[in-house]
Amino acid sequence: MTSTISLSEDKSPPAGGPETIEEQAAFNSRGRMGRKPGRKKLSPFNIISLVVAVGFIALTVVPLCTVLMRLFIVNGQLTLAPLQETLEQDILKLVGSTLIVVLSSTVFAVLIGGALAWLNERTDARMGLFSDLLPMIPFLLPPVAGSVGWILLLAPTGGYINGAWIKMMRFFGVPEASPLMDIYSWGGLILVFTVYGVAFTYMMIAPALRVLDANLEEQSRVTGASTMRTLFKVTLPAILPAVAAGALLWVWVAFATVDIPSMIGTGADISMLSQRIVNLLVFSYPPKQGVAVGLSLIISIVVLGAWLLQSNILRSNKFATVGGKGSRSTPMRLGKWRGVARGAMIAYVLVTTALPSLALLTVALTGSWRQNIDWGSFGFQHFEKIFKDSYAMKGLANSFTLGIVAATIVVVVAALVSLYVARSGRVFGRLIDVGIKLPATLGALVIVVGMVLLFTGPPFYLSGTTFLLLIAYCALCLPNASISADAAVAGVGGELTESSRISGASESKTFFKVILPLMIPALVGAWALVFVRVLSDLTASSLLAGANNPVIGFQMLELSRYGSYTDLSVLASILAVVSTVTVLAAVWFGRWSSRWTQAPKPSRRRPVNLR
Amino acid sequence: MSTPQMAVLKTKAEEVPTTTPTVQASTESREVLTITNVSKFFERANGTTVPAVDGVSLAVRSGEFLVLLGPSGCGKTTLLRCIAGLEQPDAGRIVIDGKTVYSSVERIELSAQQRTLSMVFQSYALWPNMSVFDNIAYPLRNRKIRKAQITDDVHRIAKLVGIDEVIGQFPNHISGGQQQRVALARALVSGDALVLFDEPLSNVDAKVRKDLRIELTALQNRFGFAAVYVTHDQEDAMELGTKIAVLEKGKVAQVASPREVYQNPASRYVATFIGSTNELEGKVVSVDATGLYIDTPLGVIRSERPHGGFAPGDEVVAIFRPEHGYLTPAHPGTVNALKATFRMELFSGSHAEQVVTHNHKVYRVWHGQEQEHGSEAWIGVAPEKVHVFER
Repeated sequence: MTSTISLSEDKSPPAGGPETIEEQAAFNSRGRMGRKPGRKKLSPFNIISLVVAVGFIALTVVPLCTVLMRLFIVNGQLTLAPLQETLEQDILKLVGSTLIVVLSSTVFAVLIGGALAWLNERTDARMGLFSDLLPMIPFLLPPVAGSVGWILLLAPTGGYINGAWIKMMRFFGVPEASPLMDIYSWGGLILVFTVYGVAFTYMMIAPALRVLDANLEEQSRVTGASTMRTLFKVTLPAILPAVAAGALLWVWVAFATVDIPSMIGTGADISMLSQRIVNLLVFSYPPKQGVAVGLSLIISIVVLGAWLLQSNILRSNKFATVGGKGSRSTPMRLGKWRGVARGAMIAYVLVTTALPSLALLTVALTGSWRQNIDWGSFGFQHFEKIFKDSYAMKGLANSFTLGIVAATIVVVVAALVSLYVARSGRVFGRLIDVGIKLPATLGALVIVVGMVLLFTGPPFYLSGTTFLLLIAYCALCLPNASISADAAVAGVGGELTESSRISGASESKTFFKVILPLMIPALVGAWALVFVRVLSDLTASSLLAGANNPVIGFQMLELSRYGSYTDLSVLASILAVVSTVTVLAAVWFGRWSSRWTQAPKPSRRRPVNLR
Repeated sequence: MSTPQMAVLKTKAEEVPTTTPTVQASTESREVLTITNVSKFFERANGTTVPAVDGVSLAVRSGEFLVLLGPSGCGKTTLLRCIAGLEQPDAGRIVIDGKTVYSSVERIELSAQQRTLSMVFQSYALWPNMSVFDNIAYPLRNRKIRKAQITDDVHRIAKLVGIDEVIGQFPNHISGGQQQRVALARALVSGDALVLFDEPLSNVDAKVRKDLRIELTALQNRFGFAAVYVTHDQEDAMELGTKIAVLEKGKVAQVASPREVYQNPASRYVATFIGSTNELEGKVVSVDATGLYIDTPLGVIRSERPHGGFAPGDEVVAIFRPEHGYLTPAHPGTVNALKATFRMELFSGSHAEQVVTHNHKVYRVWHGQEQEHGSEAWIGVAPEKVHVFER
């Protein structure tokens, strides 16, 4: 163990090394191309950004290297024992069941997400609020809380939906009806995976449909093709890359996700890779690191493959048929089907978010999970109980503090790095960019496993500390925040800043007067999403938290193992309410603070010169 | 109701004495911008270097309006950005208002914010988070000017370009034409001797464009700044420029007044880029004291405007403009008579264009009558209107 650590320590300087060499090369090549006599090459801003960027890259690269090494080196000796141990597991069954759940949920998610996106972007069944809301659902009702909600609805005996179904069946004269659906089954797992997958596929498909040149469809209709023929011969082929990208995005997210398998898979007795890793590291004594590392490797290979495929599809642009002008067609008329389509969309949102939320709140407020809801017992007494429980309170306080601190750090770092990358050379900037987005491409779980190996033993001894959790949250959330920050920087770049420089403004004045005000809305949005993600995280929380440093996610995992659904519902409700409020507040603030970008509301008053 | 450009023209006509301190109406013309041998190379992905700007030397005096004209990729925008300090040239010297801002030999390079010039961008680059007033005031606020003075100056310039009504609005809440004027006001408010324009009229429609051209010229006459204006639109170039620099692959092909460039182009490239032309490739048959004869697919043509010395047998191209040609159904009996086939008449309001072909090549002339499709037609053109360049 000691040697592993020392080896990885030797590794850490090179992690920053290539970058410096790369930088040197970029510097040299630019120096050769043209003399830059007046250019301040190493401003404080650049130095700070560089140090921060390299530090954060090391934070993910070093744990990854640790995982790789732990696979072949045990106690300082080269060995294949971990690999053998891994292969001795029921590995085919594990991978197989993970694949079944992930792939079937992907198929359903593409079908549902695609249909919703098409209805919402290309037909007159469009509902603006819906398209804003749908991709946000994983943040409004985080998977950890959502899974509990679905258990409350679809548990074979106590589930509210199943109870109602049996009652209804009895009413129609079927006395011994079987439950409508068992959450603890393949179907149940796939259902919950699909609900969250739809948000991801919708997120990728809807923009593609939005920017698709309407003339393509109109041309098809003018030549006499029917609505369906236009859809299948013109629209679908054009957005195929986005469909594939959405599907792969979900594959890569779902493969490494811990929350849903941990909450539901355990009860269903279906083992999935991510859940097994958590079990091996947290709920086994002594922790079986070798096997966990081997399984992590499988996850990272699949995730990496999906990511490579996705970026290839997105880069090839073979089908890119985006119109030159922002031409917006009249949406396709659905006629009598319009009401049906709208009803279906509303029903979808109600069933997938409102029902689980209601189930959570009901159990949390009545304090019991029973078919016959005791309307008289509604009250906040169970919340009070949680608030008086010092252990639960410690978890809540930890989660909130960590969420606020991590979100702030991550957003500031992401903004710094994005600005820095936008300004630095092509090769070097790209390198930093890839490094920062690495956790997203390799699966957060694998990096956390690396952190467990690296930081919990000597020489760090950070096991069970809040600091280690903070590091992990920051490392995991940086990629997403970084993508938001990139978008913000891209919107500010170019002529807007150049014209400020031409006007004689100093670098700092340009930053505070032009760049920062324009970036704030996107950064506030990113902050809210990171905060919610930290709050509802189970990946780092399950592996790095403990009784000494509890967080909400860890406590929910414990409670679900004990089967205390009342307390679980209370925590899940708190999580859902805080998430929803935070995200909606951020959306509102984003709109308010970028009010200058929106077209003014049409005035009811006639202009002065026309009166 | 007076349109903004009327306001500009009126103030100009009344010759309001220049009370604005920022407006320096200098009587004597001085050199505001001098570019000497400026080069800028780009590195392709495969490692080869391409000259975007290749040893360009130009000078602009105050009150002059220099248009950099060329097709996309000729280096005109790169040159402009080098002047602004937004890109670093690889060689040469740039002097603005007597101050060297870039010199590869002396290793001088001032950053964009240290150069006293203004610029109007193609996208206008109005900061969406600032009101129109704040946008215009921004350059002044960077120069430690009293608040009251700034307010005065901003309102004066806003009135001048006709946007005083929208001064409290955000840029995204006003029309495209108004945004254009805000960008213009922001460039003019600090009274810099040099103003750069990067295709600022390419985003507005033809009618507004025409109006803005007149306004821009009026403003320049009033303020007396030196302008460098990048465009690929020859109409912009002809109407705005006091001097046009036609760029070809990073080099200056010709610098002259719009009239000179049009009537006496320095090369086939310049002739064909500005205005429309008829090109006849052929061989020199004979040369005499005043001109030469060329054998072309349409017959022998005489030219009295050879550009360069030619000898019989040289491969050349004869070029004349459509407005100098006239069409007749029979041989006109003039020195130059070229036989072709009539195709169609294109009526464009101010004139009608007669289109003829020969061997699938199209020729156009603006004088003559419509005749039957496919009938024989003869083009006549005066020898002094036919330019000859080497091929």
